Amino acid sequence: MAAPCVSCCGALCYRLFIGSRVTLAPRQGFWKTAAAEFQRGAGSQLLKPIHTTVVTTKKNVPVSRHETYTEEFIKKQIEEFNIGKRHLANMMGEDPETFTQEDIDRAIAYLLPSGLFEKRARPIMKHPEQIFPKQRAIQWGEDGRPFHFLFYTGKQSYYALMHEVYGKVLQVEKHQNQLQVKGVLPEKTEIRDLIGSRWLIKEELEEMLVEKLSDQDYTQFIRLLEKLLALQCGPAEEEFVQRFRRRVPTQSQQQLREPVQYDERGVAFSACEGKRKSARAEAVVYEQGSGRITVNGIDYLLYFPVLQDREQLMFPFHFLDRLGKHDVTCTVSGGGRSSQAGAIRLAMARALCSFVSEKEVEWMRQETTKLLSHRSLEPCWWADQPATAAWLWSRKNWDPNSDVQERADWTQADGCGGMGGHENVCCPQRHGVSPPEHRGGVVSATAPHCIRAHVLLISIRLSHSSSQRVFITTTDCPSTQVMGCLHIPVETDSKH
Amino acid sequence: MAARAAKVARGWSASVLGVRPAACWLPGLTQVRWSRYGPEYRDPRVEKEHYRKPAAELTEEERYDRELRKTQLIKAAPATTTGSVFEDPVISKFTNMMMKGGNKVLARSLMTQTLEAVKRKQFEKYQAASAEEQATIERNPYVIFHQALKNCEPVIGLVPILRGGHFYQVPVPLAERRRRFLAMKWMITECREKKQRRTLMPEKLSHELLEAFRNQGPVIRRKQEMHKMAEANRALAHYRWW
Repeated sequence: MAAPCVSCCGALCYRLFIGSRVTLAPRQGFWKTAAAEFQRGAGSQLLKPIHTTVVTTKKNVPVSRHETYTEEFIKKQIEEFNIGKRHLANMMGEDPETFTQEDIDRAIAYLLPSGLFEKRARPIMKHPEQIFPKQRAIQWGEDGRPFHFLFYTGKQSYYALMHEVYGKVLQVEKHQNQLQVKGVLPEKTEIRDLIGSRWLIKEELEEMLVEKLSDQDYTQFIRLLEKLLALQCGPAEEEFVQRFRRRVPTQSQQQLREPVQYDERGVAFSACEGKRKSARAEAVVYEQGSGRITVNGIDYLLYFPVLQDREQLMFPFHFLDRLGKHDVTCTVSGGGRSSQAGAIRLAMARALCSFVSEKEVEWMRQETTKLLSHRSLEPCWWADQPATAAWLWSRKNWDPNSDVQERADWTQADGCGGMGGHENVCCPQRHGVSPPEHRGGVVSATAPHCIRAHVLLISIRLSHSSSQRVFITTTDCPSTQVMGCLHIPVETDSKH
Repeated sequence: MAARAAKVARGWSASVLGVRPAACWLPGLTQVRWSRYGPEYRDPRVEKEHYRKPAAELTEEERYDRELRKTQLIKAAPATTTGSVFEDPVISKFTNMMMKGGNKVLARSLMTQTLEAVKRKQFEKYQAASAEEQATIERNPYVIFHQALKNCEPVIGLVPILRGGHFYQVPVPLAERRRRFLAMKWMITECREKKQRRTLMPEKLSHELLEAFRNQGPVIRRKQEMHKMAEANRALAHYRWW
């Protein structure tokens, strides 16, 4: 991955030295000597004397897990980042002084558009603090003696923190005992707002302390903090404890309210989309009306003959006591009868949010999250087939353009797309590729080059189960050759 | 310079609160009936009266609960819940158990026909009865349904426990939901298997429900047999360790 700074014309130049390999060295002095060497090296390929940073290409060398970054290195990266940020601002024609991180992200997405589905693989330009993991400075002096008195416990920051918290607990207890002895019992203070915040999770704590913790360490720490909270501590201790709590947003605020629009007759309406499984619906809810619902131009009584679906349509209105007060026109496509009803229900609930107070929006959310989309179908990759039964990718049936939309949904849903279930699908993680899309009777998927080498072997296992036609095409060898050398009665298309 | 792939903080916060990714595959283990919702998702509450109550009437606990739910993620309501006054969870459960092959439409229509048949039979009886008897005749099919199922619930059940190479039927107290399930299961099995060739399900089921309402009939007998067996095997009760 390229260095975090986007290079551009001018002072910053990175030149690649083909054939020269320099490993990263932790110590400062090495950089300068390396740079000096390069400068002495091949004549016309020298770096411009302004900058002595060297870009090295590490080919076929795995990333070492214990890379350490010196402070000078990090500082240099920060300088380069800041300069690069200003250059980027100039390029985009904006003011370098007020160029924020969001502007940077937008600029990078614009200048270096990427079609990669893994968001973390796309080009990013972030502050080096966020890219390079925090590392600890050397913990001991020149004589070898460690600075911290708890160094030999192995987790000095964690134990120091526990020590501090326990000290506070003892202090508070002592103070309360003294008050009790005097007979002045402290009054019951109000319960603090513990709902709007949560404890730090283990990863956040690790990041804070720059140390690895175990689960037991973490639970012990949280228990100790809770104990401190349970004793009525003073404001100083409260502030200390608040450092380890994070705000939790109220979920209803994340619900966007669609603005109310007005049509040519001046009637207010609100339009929203909803989806459920593979059904997509769009509902237009008019503020004035008599409870008529039209779906795809047909009255809902005729479109949904089943009572359960009509009940679903009534649900948002019934909940808000607005039955018969709104008119709705909706369009829906895809899915089955029940999912269409669910999609319309979601769309109507979202549209109603604009006519309804904040409190009622929260009620709706709590009551059903009609406001969130319902779960989508999981690919049925565990059913019946052994785990080694693979899916096949076939270039013949792969449509590169159509995949993109489906795949976008998939990445947004955290890696599980709305796909029809298909039995002949193996666990995609084995091959490190995305799950296939099921079309008609042929399993097709996009796959990187490596998968094609497996097509031969995989086809054997499918033979007992595939009543479908399996197109085995490889770019490496023509399929007729493949079938010839295997001699297996696979139920394939007749032309093979 | 090869920079390491960034492990940005927001990478895990997305997974902390959010839909669970379907990436947990273990060899030899299959997941059955799992949910896309993570453990932090709460179940929704559908009764609108609960939300209409003004703040003054709430108890301390309810107020706290309400505040808490504001910050929690909640699952979507399933397609069967509507919050309507006509909805009955027991009837829904029974309908689902009657359903075959996902044919909810048929199951629901059978259910409504059954309730109608119960009502008609009771109404006929009502018409034909004298004044003092009319007071005792129950005509509400929902009440009859609930009472019938309650009458069919066994109190104690039998569980096969392996001891010394033999399975012994050990009497065991049953949980509430197990009891309800057994009552419904027995009712449905009875109506499916023991009926004449041309009788339809609603007719048979309404007949059985009315019998169970009066504590008679094959389902009640089955429950009593279960109780008798448990009584007979009470010497084995110490085999139970929970």
